[in-house]
Amino acid sequence: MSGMGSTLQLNNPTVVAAFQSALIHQGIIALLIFFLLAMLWVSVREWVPGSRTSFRPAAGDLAAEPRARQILRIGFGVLWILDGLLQAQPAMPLGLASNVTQPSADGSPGWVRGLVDFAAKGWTYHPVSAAAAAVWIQIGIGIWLLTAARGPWSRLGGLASVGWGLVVWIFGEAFGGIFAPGLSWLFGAPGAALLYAVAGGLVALPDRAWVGQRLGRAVLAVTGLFLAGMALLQAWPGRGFWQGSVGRQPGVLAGMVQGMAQTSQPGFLSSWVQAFGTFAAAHGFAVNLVVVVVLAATGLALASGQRAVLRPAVGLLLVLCAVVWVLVQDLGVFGGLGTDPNSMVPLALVVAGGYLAFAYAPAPAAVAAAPAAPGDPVTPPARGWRDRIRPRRLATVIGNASPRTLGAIGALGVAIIGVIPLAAASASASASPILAQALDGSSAPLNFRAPAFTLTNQHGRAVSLASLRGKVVLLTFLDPVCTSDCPLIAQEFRQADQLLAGQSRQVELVAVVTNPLYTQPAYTQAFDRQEHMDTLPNWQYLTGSAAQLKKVWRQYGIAAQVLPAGGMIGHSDIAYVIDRSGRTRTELNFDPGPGTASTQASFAGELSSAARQNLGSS
Amino acid sequence: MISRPRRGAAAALLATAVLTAGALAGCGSTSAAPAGPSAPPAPPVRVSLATSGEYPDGSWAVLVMGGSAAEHNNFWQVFVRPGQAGSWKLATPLGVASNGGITVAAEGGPALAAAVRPSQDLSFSPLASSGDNGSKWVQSGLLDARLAGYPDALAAAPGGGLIALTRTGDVELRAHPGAAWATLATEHALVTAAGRVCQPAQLTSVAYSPSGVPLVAGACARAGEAGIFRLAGGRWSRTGPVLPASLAGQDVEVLQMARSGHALAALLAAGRGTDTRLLGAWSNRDGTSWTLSQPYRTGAARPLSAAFAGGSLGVVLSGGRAVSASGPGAAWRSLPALPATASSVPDGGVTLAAAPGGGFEALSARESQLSVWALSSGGSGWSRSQVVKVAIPYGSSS
Repeated sequence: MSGMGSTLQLNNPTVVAAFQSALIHQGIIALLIFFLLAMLWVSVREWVPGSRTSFRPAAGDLAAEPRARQILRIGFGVLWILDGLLQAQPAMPLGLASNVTQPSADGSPGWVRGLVDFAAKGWTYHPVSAAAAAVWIQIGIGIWLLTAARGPWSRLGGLASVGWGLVVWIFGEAFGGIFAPGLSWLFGAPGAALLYAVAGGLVALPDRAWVGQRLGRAVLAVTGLFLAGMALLQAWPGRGFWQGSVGRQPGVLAGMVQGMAQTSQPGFLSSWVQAFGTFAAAHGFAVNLVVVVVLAATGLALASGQRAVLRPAVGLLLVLCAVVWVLVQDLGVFGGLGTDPNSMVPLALVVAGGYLAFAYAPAPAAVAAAPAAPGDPVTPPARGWRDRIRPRRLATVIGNASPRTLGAIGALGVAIIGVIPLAAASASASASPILAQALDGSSAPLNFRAPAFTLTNQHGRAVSLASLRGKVVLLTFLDPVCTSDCPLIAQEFRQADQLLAGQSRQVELVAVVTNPLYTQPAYTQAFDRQEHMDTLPNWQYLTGSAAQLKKVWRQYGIAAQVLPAGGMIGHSDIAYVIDRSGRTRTELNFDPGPGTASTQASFAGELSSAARQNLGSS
Repeated sequence: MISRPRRGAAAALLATAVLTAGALAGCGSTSAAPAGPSAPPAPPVRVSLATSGEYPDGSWAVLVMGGSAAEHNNFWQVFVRPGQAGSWKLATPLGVASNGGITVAAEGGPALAAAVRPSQDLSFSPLASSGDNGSKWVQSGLLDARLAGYPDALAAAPGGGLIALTRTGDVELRAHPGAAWATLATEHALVTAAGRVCQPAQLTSVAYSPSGVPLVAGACARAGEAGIFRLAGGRWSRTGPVLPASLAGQDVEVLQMARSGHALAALLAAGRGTDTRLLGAWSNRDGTSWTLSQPYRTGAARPLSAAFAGGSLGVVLSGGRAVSASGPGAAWRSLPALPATASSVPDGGVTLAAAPGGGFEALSARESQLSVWALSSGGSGWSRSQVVKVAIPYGSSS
């Protein structure tokens, strides 16, 4: 009801149910993909002559995977899967954009906020598809990294990690806040997703890159300089990190920590974080001094490349990462909208990988491809693309594929499961109807003759419902001096008209005044100017005497209540779809809720869709 | 084996150093303090929309009620006290949300005009008029603009003529209820036509003189000048008032201007911050000449609301203080400190109003209750004389 307010809670049951349903359906498809791949593999090996070979890994798979690469691949594979599972939290569809990504851009330059808002708009228009896509893309990449240990498929998994990591870093983390004034290593700089991308890039490197200490030294040097820079930034005066409190208010670090402690989480963890927040407020200078000194010392040690100091520096840094992860970043996964364990775990993995690559660099022989053994089945090289797609050759390729390769292919399929519905939804100009349904429930099919009326339009001309026969009528009830819902509903009608495009000539948009006091055409005309409805040739805003209007309201089940003491008219927010023959076909509850761009687009899409159905069925 | 850093690593080091330096440079630029030793100037003096006035059949008052910090749960209310001995009653026009404020003007005779300031997505100002002491309001068209947020942004003439001040500083005239609105003046036009001395910077009030001449008032950009303008013979002219030499160099603003008894009165503020002085000003019948009261130094207090009654001017100040000036040349008189429950209400929740036997009484609104406070017989304190409970439509505007 207009004037009674309605909002879209993060855990709206309709959206949560749709999200869970999508995840279950897509999860079943994911399992089917793996099942079918396995069946195909077994069948080919069983039934196609020449493809039934004893499994032998590809040549590249024979070499031992360097320990550094292994720790990065497995570590980030697990992290991607964890992140995918976190994305499956019920509040993600409605909460991620408004509560996570857009706030992360606060303080950043306009062009950064523009990028984040662009992505957030896509998310809010299709919240279920987008959230499900994020789940499956991340789980898919995680499985991919875990299953494909060596070879081209493994390196492709690394590239997938780079791509998606950068997407998340730019659009979800606003570049990790590096363009915002409050940048701090403690709060997650340079952004967890950037570290995922870096790790993916390392996994994607060819085998020869892992030979010798060069790669490990470069990783440690860059990380060391980054840490030294962060130490300098942390020590920079005037940024508020040296003060534990300002007046009676907590300082920057203490305030952040105490805010994190308020997040819904296990009690013991909350008490630890709260206690550290209190400590940081009381001893802000000392806490920042420790952070600055450890960051600077470990940073310079890593950058130096001196073996003697590397091991203790890496150990000290890992300890600091663990402490900061627990006491400052609060593990990063709680509160219902935690998307990842924040930056400390991925940073620790990158540092550990860099150290292993430096200190335990494999010898050239260890990563060299082993020659194929005599008698092994070897797929002859293809002669052109026609040869590549010959059934016989495909069967041989499939039959010779390793289980790890099949796992990687299946993981790619899992990621695609998420991408396809999102791409299909994004192709639509309107927002998902789930938003409208979440606010007002599903539309109700009707089939009765629409009650007749004759009223006066905004131009002073009499308009009867019968005179609109032959057109589909979208009918609603609006108060011309309403301050909240009615202007939003008018905009939803306007958007629906745009979505109908050329078909709008066969559709009449009709509103009836629902204020028994402000009934003169002067008010409907002013409302039309206010909402720019006066530019729509098929818009009719009808009014009449209070008695005439009350009769129409009664016929259409509209409740209108005059509220005392400065309240606007409380009235039903309903739209009816009347077909070309004058029969009422659909009733849409039309409380516009928060009136965001996405909910407006959702209602407009629902309305235009209902109109199209009636145009098509007439 | 320890080896020397390679060229690639060195390049990476250099790039990272440059990036870090860039980040620090950005950091430094954002934390730079603004230059200049001067403190920011004190903001202009403003009063809330709470006010009261008189019409031949009684008194009216406007206050905000509600209670939540949310703007959508604050509802401005009109109260009317018919006759001289009656009690206050709720008379808010129905059918439109009043969250943005209400401005009332007495048309003369028994009639009142009200304009509802738009809030949220509404962009025009619905109008209503009442000929029966606010018992029933009749919708009387609209101003197709946002009414300015000042208590005297609307003025009414006998016969239904209206002058309205819009948020963009335009002065609009509707000659009679059925007529179309026409622009009477703009700030720019006043500057070029009549305001070279004053250079009007912000219009705040419109009024009709007792003889029916339209006037507008506001703040002057030039210090020491008061900006009240009068329309005669199709031309605007500045009509004063002339301020005492002691106020030369002070910023002067007309906070309110309205009919008070048979005269036209205005409340002026000269100076800013703790150096603010209030002045009352009263005009002759056609608004051509003005006479001032003595100045009143507010000190640390700021004016909250003003009221016009029987030719007197009453002002509520922050800190529970209230003062009144009885007419031209008069000195300001301090009224007893307002009761704590009246002085602790939110902005817009307290005003003085004409008392039945002359002088002032105080009205304060908190949440859903209006309290009327009468001066005790000795004039030494306030006692609650009436309570009006109002059914606030919480949540109806969200």
